[in-house]
Amino acid sequence: MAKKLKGDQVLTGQLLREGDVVFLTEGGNWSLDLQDAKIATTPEKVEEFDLFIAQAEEANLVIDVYPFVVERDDTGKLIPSHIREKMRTTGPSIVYAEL
Amino acid sequence: MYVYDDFDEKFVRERAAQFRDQVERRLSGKLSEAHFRPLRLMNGVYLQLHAYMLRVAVPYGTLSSPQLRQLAMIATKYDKGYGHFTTRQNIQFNWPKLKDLPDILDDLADVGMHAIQTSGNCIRNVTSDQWAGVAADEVTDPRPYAELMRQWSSLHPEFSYLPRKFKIAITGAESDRAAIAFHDIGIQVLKNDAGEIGFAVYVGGGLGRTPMVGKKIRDFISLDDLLPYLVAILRAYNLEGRRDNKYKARIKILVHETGIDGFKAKVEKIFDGLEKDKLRAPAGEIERIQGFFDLPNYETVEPNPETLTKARSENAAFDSWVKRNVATHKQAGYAIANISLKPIAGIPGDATDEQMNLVADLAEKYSFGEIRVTHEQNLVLAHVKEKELFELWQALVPAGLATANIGAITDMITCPGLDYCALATARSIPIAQKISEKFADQKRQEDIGDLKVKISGCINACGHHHAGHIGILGLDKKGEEYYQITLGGSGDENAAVGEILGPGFSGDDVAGAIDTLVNRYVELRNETTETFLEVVKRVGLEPFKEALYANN
Amino acid sequence: MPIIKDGAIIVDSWTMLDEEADVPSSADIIIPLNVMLEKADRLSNHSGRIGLLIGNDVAVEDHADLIAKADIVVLELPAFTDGRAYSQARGLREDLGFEKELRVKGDVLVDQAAYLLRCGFDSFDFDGEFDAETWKKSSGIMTTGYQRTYKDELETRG
Ligand code: HEM
Ligand code: SF4
Repeated sequence: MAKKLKGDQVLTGQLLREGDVVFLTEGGNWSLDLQDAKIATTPEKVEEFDLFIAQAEEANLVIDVYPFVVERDDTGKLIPSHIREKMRTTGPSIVYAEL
Repeated sequence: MYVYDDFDEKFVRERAAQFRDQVERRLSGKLSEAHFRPLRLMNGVYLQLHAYMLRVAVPYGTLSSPQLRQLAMIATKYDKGYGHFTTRQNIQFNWPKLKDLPDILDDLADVGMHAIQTSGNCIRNVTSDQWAGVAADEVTDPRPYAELMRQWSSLHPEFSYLPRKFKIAITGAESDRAAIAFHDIGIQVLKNDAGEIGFAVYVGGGLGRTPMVGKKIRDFISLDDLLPYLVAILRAYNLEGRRDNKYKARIKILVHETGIDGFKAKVEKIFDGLEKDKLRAPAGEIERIQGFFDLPNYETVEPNPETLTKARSENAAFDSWVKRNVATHKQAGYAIANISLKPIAGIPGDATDEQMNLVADLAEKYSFGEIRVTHEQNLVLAHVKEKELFELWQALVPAGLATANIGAITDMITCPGLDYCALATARSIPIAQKISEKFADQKRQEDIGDLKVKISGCINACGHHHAGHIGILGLDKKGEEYYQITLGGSGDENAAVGEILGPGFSGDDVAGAIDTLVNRYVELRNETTETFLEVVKRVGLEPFKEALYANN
Repeated sequence: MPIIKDGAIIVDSWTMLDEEADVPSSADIIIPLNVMLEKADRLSNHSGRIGLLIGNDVAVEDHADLIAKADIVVLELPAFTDGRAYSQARGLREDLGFEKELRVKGDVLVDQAAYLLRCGFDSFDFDGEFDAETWKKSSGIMTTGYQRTYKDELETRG
């Protein structure tokens, strides 16, 4: 069930086959880019995410689906409000794989 | 080292086929995520922050060169060219895809490896002393018993749906390099007056949100009774461990709530009622396994050869490396060479495919083709001739594998933290990197001496912070990372849980705080030989608190 | 809720008895252990067979006498992740020597069938749907096992 968090929200999950992080788009698809995300600006809209969570589970495409709070930076880009979702959206903050 | 026979091979191949079937049913929708999750976990597959993660078992930390090369191959083919060695002597791949995992398991089976029970509420990979078989202070090599337990615990029909995860560690030495006191069951191999092998058994240790030091449940259990006794402990736990609250489900809570005497009484009652014959190792099995752990064919070589002395006197960097990274071997003329995976400002425990391939080659050239993984996230070549140490070191240097810091302050245990981990509350790796940079100076590290800093990115304590001389725990305060510092923990034979010093620090300030604490220690110690823990014991936490917080 | 035995749905004569329900004295009934403990005398002239349903929190060795007389024992799997019945089953089979039918009832997954069989169960009383094809394929993949147990059809070492 979608929790009523403070602020605008987007819906995220991970692709069942690949594991990649994805975001629900306006068109009801899943995108790898947060900037494509459908934004819920009212509690009612957040409530509607429940439907997509159920659908995602049913369709067997995306797992571990939940909403999180976003804001916009100076340039108007969507950014997650919480450090965890920031990390999840942008990837590891360290230089890996090229020691 | 242990080599699979036809039976072991058939078993892991079938297990891989079983997982392939489970993945197929998941992808086709026949298996729901709720039902699949515990099944994938029992095969080491997590869903992490950015991707799936696969944890491959390195039983009791021993690898052959072909096995390490295969891990490198997997890193190249299915991942992003690197792997992460963990405190439980496993290796984790951070980017595999679910659809590729069945193939990866087949590739592992090709070299006698698997990911069985590297996660889930079952008996996990049995860990041991990384110097097993070569440590000068050991009663006997614990690995044959570890292998026996690995087999016994694999797909155990009774103990695969325990209340919570279950970790077993075994050591054969007085100095505990396997942290047995912090395991669900800790085992120390002993010899009685008659020269017979037996085991002291500890139960109920663990870290996580309620750290506890294990308590002794048996002084000496015979080899014959070892597996039946483990069955009795696990049955008591499986039946009575708490299933109502995930945070209270570990055996440490059961032991704590019933008291060690009460728990022991339950175990002994079950043990007495067991039909033991079937539960013992099959006849001849221990001897069969032991045959694989015979010492390699050491040559008779001159101890402390002149070439070594000369190279050390001519090359200060090599000399530092020998001092810090080379340990005494029980065979004269041989040495234990530790390879640090903690380059200054690097990612603790990570190794690239190229590094893995190089170490595999070097192991073949210098150390009977055998590699050890340590619980401190480093690698070991356990049987190197002293006269070949210099050559080995020269080969390690260009690969960034010759950092001379084993046991020093920059040799930190660090969990993946919020850079990878879905449960994390804060990052760990960047903190380790900043501390590492701060203490990069070799002279200063050597002056400080042995000092264990351990970092976890959340209360689950995968980075053993409770057991660090200095422990760092990353937390989340209103969406921002901050770090709590503990002092005085220890993971060895004098196991202790560290105490919290005071208010936490922001990510930018942690390295400075550690610097302050270490300077205080250096001021306070009587002689350079007085260790950090000895000083903490002598003066208490106050002087450290004062140093940290006096100005605020 | 089908009963599965040897990989197929079977129909048998057992009736699960709720607290007070009246059943003909000739019926084959399964009675919860606590009911049995209280009302054993009332069953003295029951002519049908009697089985026991034993909860997860029961120490089976404390009821060895009753169990020895039972014609079937049913253990529960309230959630597929709850493994207590596995230990109870081994206690019954290997330590108490119970040899009649042992059944598990509840949230059984096909992936657990092999483990349950090895712990000594003979039959499954299923919460979910039964898919014979999947059952046959998936439950039989492992033909090897390291542990020797009561009823072991797997290949073991030694
Ligand atoms: C990255 C994914 C990981 C996840 C999701 C994870 C999860 C957990 C959890 C939930 C606990 C607490 C268990 C409890 O207290 O009941 C724990 C403990 C522990 N984990 Fe991890 N862990 C991860 C990675 C690691 C790594 C990389 C290591 C080794 C460096 C590790 C080693 C340990 C150890 C040693 C403990 C504490 C010992 C104990 O009490 O069991 N884990 N882990
Ligand atoms: S301590 Fe926490 S953050 Fe670190 S790996 Fe374990 S669960 Fe993840």
